[in-house]
Amino acid sequence: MTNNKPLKQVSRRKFLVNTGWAAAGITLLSSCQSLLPAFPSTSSPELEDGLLWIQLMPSGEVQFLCPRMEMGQGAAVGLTQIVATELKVDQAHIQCQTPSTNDLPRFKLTVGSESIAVFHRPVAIMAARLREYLRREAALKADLHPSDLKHSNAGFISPDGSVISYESLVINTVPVILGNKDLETPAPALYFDTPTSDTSQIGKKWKHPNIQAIVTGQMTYSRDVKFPDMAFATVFHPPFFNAKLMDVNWGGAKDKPGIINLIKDLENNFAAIVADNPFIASSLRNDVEVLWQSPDGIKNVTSNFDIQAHIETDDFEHELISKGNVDTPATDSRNTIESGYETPVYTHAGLEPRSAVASVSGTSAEIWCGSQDPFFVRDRVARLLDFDEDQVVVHPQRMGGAFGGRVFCRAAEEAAILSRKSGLPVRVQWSREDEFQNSYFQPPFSHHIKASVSHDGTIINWQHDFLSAPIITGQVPSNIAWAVDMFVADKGTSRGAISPYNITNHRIRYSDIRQDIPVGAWRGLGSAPNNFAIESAIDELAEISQKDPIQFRLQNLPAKNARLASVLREVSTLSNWDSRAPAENEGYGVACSIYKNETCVAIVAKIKIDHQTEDVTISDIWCAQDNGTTINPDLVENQVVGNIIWGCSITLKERINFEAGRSMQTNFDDYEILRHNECPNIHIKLLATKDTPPLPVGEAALAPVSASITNAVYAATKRRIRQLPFDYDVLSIDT
Amino acid sequence: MLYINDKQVEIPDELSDTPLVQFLRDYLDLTGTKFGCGKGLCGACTVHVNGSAARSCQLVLKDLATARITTIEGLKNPDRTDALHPVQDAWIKEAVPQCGYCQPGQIMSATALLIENPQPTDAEISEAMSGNLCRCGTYPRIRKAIHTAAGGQAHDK
Repeated sequence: MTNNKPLKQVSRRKFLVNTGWAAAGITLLSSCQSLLPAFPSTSSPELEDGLLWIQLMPSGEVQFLCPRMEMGQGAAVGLTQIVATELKVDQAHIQCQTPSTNDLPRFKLTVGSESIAVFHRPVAIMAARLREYLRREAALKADLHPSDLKHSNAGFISPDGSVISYESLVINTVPVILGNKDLETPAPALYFDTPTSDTSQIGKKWKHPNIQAIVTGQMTYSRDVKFPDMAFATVFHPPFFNAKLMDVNWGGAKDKPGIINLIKDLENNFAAIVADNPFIASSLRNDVEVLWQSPDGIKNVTSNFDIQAHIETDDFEHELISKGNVDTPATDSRNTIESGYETPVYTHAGLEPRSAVASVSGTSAEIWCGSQDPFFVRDRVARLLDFDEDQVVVHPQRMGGAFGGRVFCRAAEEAAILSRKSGLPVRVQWSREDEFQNSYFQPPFSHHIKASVSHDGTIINWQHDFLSAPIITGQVPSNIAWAVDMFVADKGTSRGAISPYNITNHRIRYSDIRQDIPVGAWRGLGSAPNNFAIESAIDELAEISQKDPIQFRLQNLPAKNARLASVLREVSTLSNWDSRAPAENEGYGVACSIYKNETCVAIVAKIKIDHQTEDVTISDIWCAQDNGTTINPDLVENQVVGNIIWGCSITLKERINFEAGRSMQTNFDDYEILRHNECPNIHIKLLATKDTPPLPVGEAALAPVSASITNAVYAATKRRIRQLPFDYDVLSIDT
Repeated sequence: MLYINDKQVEIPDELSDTPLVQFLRDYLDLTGTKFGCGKGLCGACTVHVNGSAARSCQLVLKDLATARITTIEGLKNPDRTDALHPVQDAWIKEAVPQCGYCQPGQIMSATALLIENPQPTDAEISEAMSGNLCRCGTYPRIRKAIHTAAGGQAHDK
């Protein structure tokens, strides 16, 4: 490791500006603080935030209160390996715990594949500081100078060979933690930077410490949380966007034994049955008639955008790049492409429908739920209950998938309101149908790309315009959304929109148009929709240049993107690209991307078309990825495979349509995700780039999957797929 | 009389219309069986009914009569009481789970498959496991772990 950059010291205000999270709104509203809504936890870790992360327990074991939330990505495991490396302990002697919001200072929400990329260094530094603190304590105890002591497994060795264990440094069974004064010394050297020692855990395949609990059904998710005196709620949610609760006819539910409360909450726009047992609560669902109305009407609900009108009026809000002269005519119109590409609305479809338990008293509230930002959940609940933030404690649970969809948790907010009204802990469990209608969505994208190449296959110009909705700011409250939209170009919408190629005459414009559908983070934000358009158009340019698609990409990559060129060459080798011999109705396609300007991915797909069964099958995916230093190759591979399968799924199957202000898809029969029998053979190569720090992994390999598949379809059929998802029927239409 | 994990279970009359998944989770506190969709579409709630895989969200208690139900908590090593079921061992060896939520259902489908077919091919695995959705993308490792549990070599499709 040669990267010695210090902990990020970004001021909060600057960070807000950087992430586009409503800096404008904050300025405008600074004179009326009490109106400020709760905000997500967007600040990167500061030095003092980490004082409590790592603790030496009286047993001599290390406890790591991990400031990242687990949803299956395994980041907590990787960070635990880093702590273990700096403290020289093995996996049996370190426990990773999920902190409650009163255990640690606020930490950044778990999004954007940042858990290892952003946190590995702060975590390593705090572990090394604790190590050096323990060394000083051991030296005092042995009446030696700290430098006389040799660090050894879970302790130190003095020059005479005697061992001073960590355990022996614990006084009066009080856990050892760092204090503010321990931060006054310069940061110690990190083993992480010289991972040569035989006790380094970097690159080891640690398994998740809870893996046995998971495979035996003992792992607790928020749906499994239960207390003896708990009440159970069935919640009625708005059945369409902008629906306002008008009235409830409780029917037969009124006089049933076991009913604690029948709640009509007009202010918070939901109704609920609260009962002393879960069977009554759920069985009465159909006995109740809930009246919803849409006083403002339903507008701005779109399943897709049409970019053509914006092209004609030249109307785009934001310009990402403008250089050279994009109107430079191609020397030959045969060397120009002009194309449209579209992706639909998607949902997260994690397997666990959200759930929460809340216990609210007159002065405090406790919440058990899964969330990517437990402090945001805390602050939102505090506002609902008119509590101070420190009166609310959130106990985060492992999530059954999140994928951006669990930044906050409305089930927790509902449970908190119902618990206050009922005077008991209350459980709220969403149904699958609730998930489909009441979560936020990935917005649709519509692209227009006009580009041309010279006779030797060099890209001369590239005009890319696209439309979608704001994603990162998608969930800002409506009373400040107008201000946000006036000043902020949503960087989530434009993620991955700048192609990695060397283009002289270059213009990228977009508009992020707020809709009345709830929009928010979804795996990779704009990166997959944007890459589908870019890498499809690049394939078109390779075709009109009569160049091999990989060679065309390599030819047009600038020197600064040499790492992307490397993964392209690697995936070429891995897939035997140069000697590929597709049979009739088979094809190979390639696509690549750089995620967040960091992680380089190249993918080759092989598809087969069966005219008898009328099926398109993705038979193989080859993927080469450079994510810098890999902390845990087993878990990184899991993330790459997960992204590839997700990418196959959105390419062939997933789409939400809205009609009359509601999602027409309500369960896995009409919103299908890829099944086992549709899963391709997947071949992965991680490039070993030890001199680069760990880079984002959790969303990186998703972006190029779709275009690799549709480019393979083109190779097999000469038919260009311009809208996702697609199936055999699209290929069979005569054009 | 209903047997769940080899224990006789009496069903209160008022719960006769309750789906098995809810009875397991909320009456018996056997929360290893997961709720995913409520319509038999995702497989998260898979249990064994008389040795075959079944979706417990689609079974109502009054229809189960004398069935013998096994849940993830009742899965046992046939030879030793102090060891996990070989399929669970294989799941750990191949590090299958990501979020883990669908895995009890996956494991119940896999164990039912191996009872019927101790040496399944890739195609047979695909067919038997396609009712169990995984959003994290663990299908390749599931396939590998089933081969491992079957004592055979994992191989490509």
